[in-house]
Formats: sequence, structure tokens, C-alpha cells
Amino acid sequence: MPLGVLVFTHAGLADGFVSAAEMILGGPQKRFAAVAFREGDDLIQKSQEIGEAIRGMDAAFTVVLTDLFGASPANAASLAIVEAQAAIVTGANLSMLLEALTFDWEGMSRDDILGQLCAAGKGGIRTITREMILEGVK
Amino acid sequence: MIKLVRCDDRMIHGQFAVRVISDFDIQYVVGVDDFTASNPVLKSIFTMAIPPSIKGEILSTEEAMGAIEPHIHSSQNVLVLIKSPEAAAKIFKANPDLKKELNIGPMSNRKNTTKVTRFAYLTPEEVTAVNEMEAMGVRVYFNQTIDQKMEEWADVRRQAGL
Repeated sequence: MPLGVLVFTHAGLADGFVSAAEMILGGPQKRFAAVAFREGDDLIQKSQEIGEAIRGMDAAFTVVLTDLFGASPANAASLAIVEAQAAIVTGANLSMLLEALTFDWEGMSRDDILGQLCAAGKGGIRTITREMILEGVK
Repeated sequence: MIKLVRCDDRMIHGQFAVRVISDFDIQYVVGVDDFTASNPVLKSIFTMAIPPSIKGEILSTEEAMGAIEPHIHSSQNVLVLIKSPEAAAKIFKANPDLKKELNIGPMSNRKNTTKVTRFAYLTPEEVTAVNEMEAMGVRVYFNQTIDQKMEEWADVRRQAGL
């Protein structure tokens, strides 16, 4: 059963993730939604909105990708997942998002899915220096 | 010692984690909010949200009124983080030894609030509580992060026409 992917961040970061993912993947994706936590939003109300977004996903399980552990989006999502078929990965980056959207998660356990998403996110964090580039030119 | 007593209606959140803790070198946070403390799921979530580099707890106003004293003289740097100015007023009243200074940080644009600074909106009850604290001799100032200016309640109140 495919995974639902919900990106939930401060301000317009979620929409930015959607634009970037659609550009890379060639268009809109199924079971993919974005929610923004804006200045002045109410935590309880936002958690209800997340709960509804998860229920509206048409997926057996949804991962909520959020930006910052301990911040309001993560706290609101935390409240929502107590009642929903979903789990949260924080520190969302594009590597993690693309993995979530493209990998075939069929038959995998929740914890394996979460582990793989964390690894994908971390794996995307690398450095490039001019020395590395020029090393390859020699 | 208590480095800062601050009102912030989002409690533990990005700005808090990234700025306030390091700006004040905080090692322990006493979070105060009746709603959060009385809801076991929310209490668990907010306790979990305390940054791993520090320790802390979430208390009700009643619990906090009695729990502040030992932190005043402890060797740890403590932040008292209170959701509502009304709760802050009770805490100052119950702890005469507590340094009479309250920082009001972000207070969101809820129903029935008046905008008092760029980042703070207060309900009439909250305005009353702030005036009460002022009458007690508490210096109430508005500030989000230390690189921004501090605005004193007397000026803020006048500019907001309250």
C-alpha cells in the first residue's frame, strides 16, 4: 500500500518543498500534501487540520515530514498522530522528501520506513569543496 | 539562578530552542501552563520537545507557584517560561524573592486581542494582569530576541492606546 506524504512546516517552506519535488519528479504527485503553520496559528486547531489531512490521504499509513523537532508544527503533528495512522520525521529535507515519494514501501514495517527516511535525509547532507572538484581534474 | 522569566504563548518552539536557550545560557526550563500540564498527551509532547541539551519540566500555575523558590538560588541557569501573563502575575505574587522582571515575547493574534507590539497581542485580561504586575513593582518589557530592542510596558501601553 503506498505511503501518504504530508509536509508540514513553518511558513511557506512546505510549499517550497512541493514546488521543488514537482519540478524534479516532473509534476504533481499522488498522496502528497503540504500544510503551513503560520504566525498566530492555533496549535490545537492545526493538529485537527493535520488529522483531517491524514484521513483524506487514501493511504494506509502517512509520514508527516516536518522541519524542526520541538517547534509548533512538530508539536501540533504530535498531537494528531496519537489518533492517526501516521508518524513524524523531523528535519525534513528534499532528499528525504524525494525518497518518501519515490521509494516502493510495499510490505515494509513502520519502523523500517522511518529508519530509511532518516537515512535518506542524512545521506543528502554532504560537503563539496573546490579541492574535491579539482582532485578529479588532475 | 533564574536568568529569565518570560511569557510566550507558543511555549517550546523554534525561536525558543534556537535563540532563547543559547542567548541566556539556559540549563533548565520550568514551563508553566495549566492547559498543557493538565492534558497528559500535550504534557508528554511538550516535555519531549524540550531541547536535548537542557532539562526541564511542565507545571500547572499552582505547582509552579510553589516550585520556583529553589531555582532562585540554584547554581543552574533557569528559565521560567509561562504561557499567560495572568499565570505570571500569580507566580510573582507567590514568590516575593523572585526578581521583579518579566520579559513578554511572542503572544499570538488570538480572538479578542489588541496588538501591542509587532509580535505581541494581548487580551483585556492579560492587559489587566500586566498592569497588576507593574503595580507590584515588576518591570515588564517586550522583546523577542536580544538583538532587538526592549520595549517597556509604559511606552507600549501608551502607543497601543490602552
